[in-house]
Amino acid sequence: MKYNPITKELYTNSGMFLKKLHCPLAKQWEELQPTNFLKGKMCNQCNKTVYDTSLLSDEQLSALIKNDIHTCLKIDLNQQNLTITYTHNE
Amino acid sequence: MNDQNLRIIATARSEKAINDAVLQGFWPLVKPVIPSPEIKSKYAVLQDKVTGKVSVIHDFRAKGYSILGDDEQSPTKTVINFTSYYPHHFESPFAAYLIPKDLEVNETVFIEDLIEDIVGGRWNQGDTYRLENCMAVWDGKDFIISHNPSQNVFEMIG
Repeated sequence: MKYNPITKELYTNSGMFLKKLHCPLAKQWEELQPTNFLKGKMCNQCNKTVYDTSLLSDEQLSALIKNDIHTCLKIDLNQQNLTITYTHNE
Repeated sequence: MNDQNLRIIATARSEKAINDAVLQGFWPLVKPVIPSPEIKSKYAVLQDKVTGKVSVIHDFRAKGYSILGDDEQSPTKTVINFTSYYPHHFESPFAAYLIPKDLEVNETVFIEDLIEDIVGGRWNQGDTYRLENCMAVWDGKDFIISHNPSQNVFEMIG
């Protein structure tokens, strides 16, 4: 996957737009509740799972977003399956 | 009000937007927009050796790039190696915070679009990112920006 830290837009490696990351509560990963579900943590404020994208493939991520465009995600700029881009409209 | 019950201070980034706000009763605190040399992104350009087609990359991990130099067997070559640049473009060279008439001295507010260029985050490849918004305290003449750079871990949730 590709991520633009300036626009906060996330894309697949092939350039398909997935979503623009925005958390109005400015939550930090450390604040979220660990769960038995290994691929994410729980945000108690929104009662939603926040998925760790370092553990997801582009295909899995696309399916999640397709199912719910408001799916919450966590990105670390240094995660292995990510490259950073500043190009608009990948 | 934001989620922390702080008043939100808006920013106007054109003469018209500032004067529209004045008509609505705000006092515009006008400031110059000055790019900071500390805010920087990087890019490199790879070119296909046969077709000439170029691709721009921004990450040392990007496909086709090696920090050890171009591979003879690679279909691309690096025509511009990683170079830093200022990644933002603001139409107007000035902007203004829109101060409500009843804003009190020592009131903490949330500035939703910071005019000043302050480093809000750093990536370990050398890129730095602008602080976009933050809390601040009104001292009666200006805002005292409340920002702790050590809190910026480069993880993003949303």
